[in-house]
Amino acid sequence: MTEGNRAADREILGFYNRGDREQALRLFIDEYQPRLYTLAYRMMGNHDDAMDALQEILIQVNRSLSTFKGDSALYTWAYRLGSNVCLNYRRRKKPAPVEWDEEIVRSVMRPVERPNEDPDQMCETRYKQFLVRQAVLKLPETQRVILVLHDLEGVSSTEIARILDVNAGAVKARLHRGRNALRKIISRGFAVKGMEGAGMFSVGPSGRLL
Amino acid sequence: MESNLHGIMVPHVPTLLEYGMNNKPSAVVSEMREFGRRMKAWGVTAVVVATTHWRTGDRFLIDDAPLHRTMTTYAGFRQQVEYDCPGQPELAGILRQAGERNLVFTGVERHGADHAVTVPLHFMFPDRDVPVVPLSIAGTPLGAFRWGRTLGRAIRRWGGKVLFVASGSLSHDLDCFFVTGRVLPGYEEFDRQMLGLLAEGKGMDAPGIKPELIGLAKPEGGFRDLFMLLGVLGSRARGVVRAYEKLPGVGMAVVEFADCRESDDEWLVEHDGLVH
Repeated sequence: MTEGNRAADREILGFYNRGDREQALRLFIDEYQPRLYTLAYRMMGNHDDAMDALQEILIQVNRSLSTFKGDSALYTWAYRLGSNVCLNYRRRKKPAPVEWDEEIVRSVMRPVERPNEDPDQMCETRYKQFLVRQAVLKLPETQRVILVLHDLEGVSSTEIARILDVNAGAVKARLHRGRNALRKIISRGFAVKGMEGAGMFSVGPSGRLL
Repeated sequence: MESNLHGIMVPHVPTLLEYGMNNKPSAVVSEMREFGRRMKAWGVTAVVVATTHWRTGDRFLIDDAPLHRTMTTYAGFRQQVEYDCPGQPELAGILRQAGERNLVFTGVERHGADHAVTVPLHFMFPDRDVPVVPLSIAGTPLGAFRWGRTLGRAIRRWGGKVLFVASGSLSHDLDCFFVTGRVLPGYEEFDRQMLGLLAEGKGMDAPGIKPELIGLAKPEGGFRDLFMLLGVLGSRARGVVRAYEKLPGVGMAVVEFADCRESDDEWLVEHDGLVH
């Protein structure tokens, strides 16, 4: 957590505690909406469901900010709440084919005015990220959720255990199994929806994902 | 069940008035007229316009006036248009309330009919008899998408047949248009990529177009009007490109969208979180 985040949290909570809920929520949305949307998109796999989940997260934040005790960063608290909203949403929604396109979600987050990084490097990095995420989608849901939270979102095992209401040992075991399963998927080779013409993706002789 | 929503992206360059009034051939003008006729036959009861000439920082505003007076917001063009048109205060109020309940932080303000409203509607609904709700554009594309999704739900529940208009050009480099006249290939390339994405139902990918191309083309609403439209109609709504014309630095397209939102009522009735 950066000093900037801490300062933003203090400001948000300051407005909230002084009774200015609207300003507190506006600041919260400015600060955290893109990251919570990224979380929702990774969990839901499409923009429409991700936006509905984000909307629900914001409404729950608004309802329950008064219960925030300050024993973690505000974002960690919102993240926990958001993860649960997404998991509940997935359970309630009829299963639908997941169309995962990391580039799309990143492009939504990227301010139009931001200068570009090296385009060749950017393309290669994004392409690899895209392929890894496509492989993650092949995992069973219980393993996938933990891999998304831990390896893509950087949430600690302890925090995931609190989010999913399981013990930390179970999280570590599922994470271990999930990573092994992911390795197998990648080493066996996997197809990507919409890119069937490109054949199977796997690890090449140099150890690079091709 | 047939949707009560339809969408269109249109330009509003005042040059179109000259084409229209002098009967110069213009595919954009012809298609807007034809589209308006089809909307009237469909039974459109209100038009909600996201106007790129009403920019309001980080707060989305709604004009709830019963009558919108013409604002002539363009200088230097020979032809001008008067298009005072009725408002739709009831629908405007519903949209405002939906925004508030969903933490979009909207507001109400009397703005009037700027030329992002008057120019296209002059061609689509020349009798000025379809009530209009002008909306500002604000915030980020992501925020605009969230507002659009809220708007779409509220309009569906309202039930009247609504046309949602995103009014703005594709490429929109006014330095080129007014000053240099130096047309670079990038303008058309940007327009071509945009139209390709819209036709494939990948409008959400638009901010992923090469930044140098976006920087050159300066799309009029910075994608906010487009993201509002995609929020309203569904992120994968496919556009049908009806017409495209270009002026120096400016790409004018008429792109029609049908509602592609799946029914989410099952989720909504089970769950009391989302508020509509």
